Amino acid sequence: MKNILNAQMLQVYFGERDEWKGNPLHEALIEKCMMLGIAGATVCRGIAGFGASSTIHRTHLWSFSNDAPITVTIVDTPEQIAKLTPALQEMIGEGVVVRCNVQATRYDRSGQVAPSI
Amino acid sequence: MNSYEGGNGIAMNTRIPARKVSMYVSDGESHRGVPLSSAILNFLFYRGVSGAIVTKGSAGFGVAHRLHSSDFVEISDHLPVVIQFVETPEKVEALMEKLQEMMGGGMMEIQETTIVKPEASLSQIPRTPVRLEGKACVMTIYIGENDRWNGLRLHEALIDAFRSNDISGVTVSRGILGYGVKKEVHKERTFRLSSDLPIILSAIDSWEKLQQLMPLLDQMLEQALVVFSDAEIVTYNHRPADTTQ
Repeated sequence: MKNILNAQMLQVYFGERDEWKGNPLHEALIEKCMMLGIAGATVCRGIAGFGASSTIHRTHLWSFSNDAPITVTIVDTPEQIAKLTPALQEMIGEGVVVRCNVQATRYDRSGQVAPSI
Repeated sequence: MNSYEGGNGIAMNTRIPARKVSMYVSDGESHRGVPLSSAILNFLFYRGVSGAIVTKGSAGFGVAHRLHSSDFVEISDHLPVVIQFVETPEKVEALMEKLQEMMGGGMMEIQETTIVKPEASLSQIPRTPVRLEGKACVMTIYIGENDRWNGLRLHEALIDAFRSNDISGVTVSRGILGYGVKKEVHKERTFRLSSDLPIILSAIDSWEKLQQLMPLLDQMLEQALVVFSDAEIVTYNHRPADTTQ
């Protein structure tokens, strides 16, 4: 199955050490997305970066206490993205959220789940 | 708009008339104390022929009807050797008299031929950098690390596919956490090598070029998300690859 539609892409930038109610923020964000029925979300860890506070975030070799930059990318219909925006405003303490219009093509030929976007 | 200029600057419809000379000699023959094939090759080299090749045959027979073959020790002497070169008709004519004298008993033939792509030394090939400027498009593909296509890792197959289609560049990143079509959370675990993490491929090129890939992606992608977004190229510096390395 293949469907093409106009969608929106959200990119959220924050740090790996950021937390939400005692859990890592990126994990909490993914859970929130799943709860709201968002089509998909992907978390990536950067290797270095800096943000509003001008502190350089980077990973340290042989260290488990990393504060690498984290990006969460979410693609869904504008309505679904709008549902997520209030939650983001509540959860993101320090970070950037970027939204852009995209054309999305979704492939699912496993025949198990009908794609929701 | 991006413009791709031909990599080597040679017109695609080059047709240069030329002559190909093939000389059939025997391995044991010599000319003034050196093997005949080396003598002829040296002669061609120092007379400025642009290129020549010596090929050793593994079996054959000639006018004497004596079979030479490398398969049997007793007949493995005097194996056939072929010397070939391609040059302009004038140059071939200038060399002919001396070559015939050197050849002795062997056979020589001349073929009219056409050079479609002349050999050029790499330093002579003008290189124009690939330009990508103004309006462009970012294509992002979301797949899983364990996805495969034709026995290859899907992201590696996609890179090859993009490369073969002259896409200006692709970057592959591995996510640390995510979910998508399968609604399964893929999570990174320390000390585990396979946990089907998300893989993100980003390619930047013109909208048209990236759209042309869609029929191919239709075949290659089973469960995936492809996202197109508009972009503007701010800087694109590209130094053509040095093919000598």
